[in-house]
Amino acid sequence: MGWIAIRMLTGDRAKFIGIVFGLAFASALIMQQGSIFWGLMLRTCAQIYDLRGADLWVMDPSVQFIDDVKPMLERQLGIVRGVEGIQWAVPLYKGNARAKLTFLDKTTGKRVDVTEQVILIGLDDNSLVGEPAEMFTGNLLDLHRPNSVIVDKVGLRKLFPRQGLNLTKTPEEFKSQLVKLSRRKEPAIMSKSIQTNDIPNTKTVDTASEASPVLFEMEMNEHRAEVVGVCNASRTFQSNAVIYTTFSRAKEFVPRERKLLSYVLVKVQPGQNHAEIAKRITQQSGLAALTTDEFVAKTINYYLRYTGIPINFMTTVILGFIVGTAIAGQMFYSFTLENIRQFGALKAMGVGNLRIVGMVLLQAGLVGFLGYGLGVGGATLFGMANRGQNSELAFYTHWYLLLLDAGATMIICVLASLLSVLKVVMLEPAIVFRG
Amino acid sequence: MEAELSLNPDIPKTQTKRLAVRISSVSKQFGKGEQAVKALQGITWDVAAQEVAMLVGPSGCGKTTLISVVAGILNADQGSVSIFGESITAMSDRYKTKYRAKNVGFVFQQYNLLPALTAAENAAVPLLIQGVPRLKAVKEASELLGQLGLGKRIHARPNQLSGGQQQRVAIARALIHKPKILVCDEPTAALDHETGMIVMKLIRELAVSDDRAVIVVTHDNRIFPMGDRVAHMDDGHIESIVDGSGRPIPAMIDIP
Amino acid sequence: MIRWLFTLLSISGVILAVVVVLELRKSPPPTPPRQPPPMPIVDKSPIPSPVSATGVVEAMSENVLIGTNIPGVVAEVLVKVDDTVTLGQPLFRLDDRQSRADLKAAQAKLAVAQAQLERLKNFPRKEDLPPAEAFVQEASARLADADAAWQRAQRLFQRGSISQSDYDRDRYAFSVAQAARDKAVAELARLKAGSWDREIAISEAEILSSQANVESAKVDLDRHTVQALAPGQVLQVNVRPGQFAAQLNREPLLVLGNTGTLHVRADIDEQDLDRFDPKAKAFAYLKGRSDPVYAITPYRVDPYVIPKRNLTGENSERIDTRVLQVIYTLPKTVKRGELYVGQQMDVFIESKPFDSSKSRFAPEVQKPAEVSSQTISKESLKAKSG
Repeated sequence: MGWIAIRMLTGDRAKFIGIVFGLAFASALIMQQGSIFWGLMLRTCAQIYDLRGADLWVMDPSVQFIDDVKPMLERQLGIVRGVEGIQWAVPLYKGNARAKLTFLDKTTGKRVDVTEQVILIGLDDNSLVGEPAEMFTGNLLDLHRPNSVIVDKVGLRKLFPRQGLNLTKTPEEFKSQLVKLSRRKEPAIMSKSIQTNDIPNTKTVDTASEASPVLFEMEMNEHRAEVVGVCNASRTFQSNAVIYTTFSRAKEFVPRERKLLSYVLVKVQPGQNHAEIAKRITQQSGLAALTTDEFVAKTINYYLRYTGIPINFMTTVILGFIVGTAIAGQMFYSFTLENIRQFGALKAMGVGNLRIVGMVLLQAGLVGFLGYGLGVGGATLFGMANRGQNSELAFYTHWYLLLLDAGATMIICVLASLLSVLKVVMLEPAIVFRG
Repeated sequence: MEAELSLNPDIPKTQTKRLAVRISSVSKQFGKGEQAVKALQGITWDVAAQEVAMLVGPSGCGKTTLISVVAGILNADQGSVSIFGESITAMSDRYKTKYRAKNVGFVFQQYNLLPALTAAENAAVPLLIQGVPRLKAVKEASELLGQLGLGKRIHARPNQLSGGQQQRVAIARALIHKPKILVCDEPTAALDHETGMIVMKLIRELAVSDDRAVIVVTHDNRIFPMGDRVAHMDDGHIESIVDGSGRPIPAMIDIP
Repeated sequence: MIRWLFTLLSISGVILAVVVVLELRKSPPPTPPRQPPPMPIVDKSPIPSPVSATGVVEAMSENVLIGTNIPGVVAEVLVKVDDTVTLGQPLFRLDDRQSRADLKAAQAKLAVAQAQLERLKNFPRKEDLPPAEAFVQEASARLADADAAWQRAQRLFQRGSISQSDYDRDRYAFSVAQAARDKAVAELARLKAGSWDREIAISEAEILSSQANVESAKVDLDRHTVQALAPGQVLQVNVRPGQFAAQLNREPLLVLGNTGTLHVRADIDEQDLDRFDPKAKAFAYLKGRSDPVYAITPYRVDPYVIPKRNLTGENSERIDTRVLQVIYTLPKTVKRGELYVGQQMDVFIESKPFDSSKSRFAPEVQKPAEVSSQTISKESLKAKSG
């Protein structure tokens, strides 16, 4: 009987397509909005995820999210280092700085002065723990050079506004783009010997074969900063440029403050329980110690609780849900009404209520599945089209969004078929005898 | 008429037959209080096997209600209906549904074929309802359609068939599961006279058997002569019962 | 068939979504640090709840910061960085022309005083005596003449041959001649007596004073050349010819130190003092590195808690906390050039495990659980070390 129900459903092509698209719309909307929401949430903690290699983040206990930096005294680093079970602990500076730079406008050739708020990340001088995930051009070890900083690629667009920076170019072309914009005639190339002398005792895997040229210069807090590399950092929520440098240099790039230690990154000794060590750190230092996941959860929780973002998205999702339910329900009901005589005939011919309801639910389930599949597929394609480092759009599909969407689509189907089911159950088979 | 009669020369009309359906004192009322409509008022009527019983009368006379009760899709307020000795009115709703699936065949005025299914699939529906595997059911239905002269149209959709063809598919559907009772509601009303006659002939030819009752509801007086037992109904009563040639016969059949 | 098309699209949609979601879930593996940061693990066994401190390498003698007594322009630098100097070896010389001139002037003054004394001591001059003697003789002669005249006048007056006035004149002429002779005799006697000893004393004192001036000028000159007051190695030279060396220079002109054995001066946070054991083993790392590690031995504790100097390289004062300075000896095996004086080190000192019941931060409710966890971790530690 199931296939009869399906044949009945697909027999009316226009209605069938209508219902499926209605559901696909709802499903796609839920998934797309959900993904954008989740993508935005992840952007708020992009820097937590970007920073790999550490097990625990140690911070002031009142920190509520990653950008809510409450600096600590530098001696806290020593206290954390003294906690049993820790392999190492390094400082991390994270804060906002103001970068000033000058370049010649591409079209007019006039001098442009830019002052831009940037996110400054100061990595531990030697270990560079917290380094960007991927270098686009240049070598991370160039950070050991004096005055050197590394800028994230997407952020460059803010530093060179209206210059049509093409982010899709190859590193070489990209470099020449930058060099052309900044007023340098020839890239200054540091000799290899200087660089290697700068870091004695290093046994690094990837030593720079040749030091990268300085791409351009900026000024932060009256200090000169030479951009020696471009990295691919995850997009952040504020979408400010991210500038990486060493911890000690970061302190020069920001106005003087008494406390400058934003976070302490801790690696737990192998075999130790992270939660145990975190508790120990809290006991000894009074600081909060969170794993990456906990910190992410805390950050997202903050945005959920204190910003209107979730409500906005929730509204759209609910709208999608309602519209989807309305479209699918209305179409499904009218489909049932159109087939009421057939249902009546089947009932007369001895098909029980349960089987009839089963047929209706099967139909609903089928359109639900088709709509869901088309919806999530479409939303995924949309996400894929807008993927990548260079995209403004935050799009991340969490696996449970798929389940949520499936659940929502199911509920829509159940709601939509509810009227039809009632109609069919209440149907008197005797109507088939009435002309 | 002659042609029709020659179609089933083996069946002697006056021969006493087996009792198929016994309807005794059936009453049915729709609504309550002042707006109550008394659709059936103490109907008593017997239908024998091996014959075509006809129920005729003006619109609203209660004939649709009566066959609904007989087919087991409507419960009577009073009285009883038994088919080959089995009481329909005493059955539970659930059992009645099962009973219908197994023992009742329907032919509707508007055919009520499923537009999404092919002719053969439509004809196979009762078998499918009973749980016969799809391929087997469709095969049987195709064979039956072949007998009905639709062998070349078994893959056609209802909307690709003419009215007569559709009604033949409907008849095939009604007979495929060899029901004990065949209920035909105005089988010729949507057809022209010639096609109607062919359909009626088919019913007589194929449906009538020793262990089956055939009840045709109609107000098409042109086909009255094809009935062996014609009950005229009006206002919830049976006015008269005649045989095919118009002679009155008793409502009750005096046989087991 | 639209049905199959939809089904196909739908299934592929779901598959696509699932694949993408699974792919997104994959996060890149964590990158190990380029340079492992210092970790309290020595020979694969962790230092039990170490006290962490920052240290600075210094010379055994501590670092001798050389300055100057007097401001002046540097004329000559006599040592190079890394030279080994002995006690008293000149290090650099300031411009000392003025001092030299002053010395010469003082010496001249001394010579004058000495000459003066010599002159006084050599009185009277030989040539002065004969005239004086002659004067005496002359005066004696005149006296004799006057005496004779007055004798004559007496007799004459008694005889009344001369008047009273003549008599008086002769009498007085005699007195005058007598006085003149006495004067001449006295003059001679004075001349013969020579210089007055008081004057000689003055003159001698003047000589002493001049000598002292000369000495002072010499010292002053000497001080323009700065010498090593202890043997050691020249660690830093901040002085160059022509530079003005002021007394209040922030950075030392020269740094000397005995680098035969190196020490680490570790700053221990006052918060950690209750856990700090002055005799405990300690390990030092190059700042920010995990390799190599130096086992250091306690040398001395400076029993005075001082404000921590911020070792950030900024010269403005930012006091985080107060620290106890503890000095450790680096192993003798440290080769020359392996570590440098002034280098920062991360120091981990073994200590008693942290007593969680004393934690200022432990919430009251969690106490029982924490105690048990503490024992567990101790056991695991034991298991590890065993």
